[in-house]
Amino acid sequence: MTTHLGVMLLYAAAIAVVFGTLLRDDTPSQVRLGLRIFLGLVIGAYVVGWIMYVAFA
Amino acid sequence: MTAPARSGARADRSPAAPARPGPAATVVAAWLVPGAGHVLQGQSRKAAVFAVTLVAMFVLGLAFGGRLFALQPGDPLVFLAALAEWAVLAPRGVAMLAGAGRGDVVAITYEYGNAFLIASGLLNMLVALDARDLASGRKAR
Repeated sequence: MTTHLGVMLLYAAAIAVVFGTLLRDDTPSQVRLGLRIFLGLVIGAYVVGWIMYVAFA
Repeated sequence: MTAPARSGARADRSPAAPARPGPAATVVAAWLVPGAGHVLQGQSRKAAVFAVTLVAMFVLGLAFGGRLFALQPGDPLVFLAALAEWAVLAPRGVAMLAGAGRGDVVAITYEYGNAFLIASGLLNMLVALDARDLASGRKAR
């Protein structure tokens, strides 16, 4: 779990859980927001990573 | 002549509702232990999620070799990182007393560890502010 990907997934999951719980009050909404935040962080990291790789390779 | 009732959630509280601590006590509790502010405001489920997640982030940060920064006003970035880490007082204090958090700068996960430690503190600031809003009636329960 100490790979870059593993740590990133852990970090994104923790952030998503806290913000989902903080910003919504009912469980379905919390899960939906948490999933959106998690996917946004992971996909965003991939996109930014590829942009940096292509731009600076 | 009575004063008009304030609008918002606080005005909706019935006399039978249990007395809750005020905003200041709630923020202090939330600062001490992640989730404690929400426990005081009667939101135990949210409190459990915050406690487990934020303490886990802090412990993971230490396990990844992150550093517990000292408050050094002469170094702004280190100072801000230290402030963030002190925003989770109980875990920060326990780790300091246990001698953890020396920082393993050659570990591949060192920066990740710092990110986890700092993020746990910053998130706890938001959690404490949310608890304060519940206590002051600015946010409905």
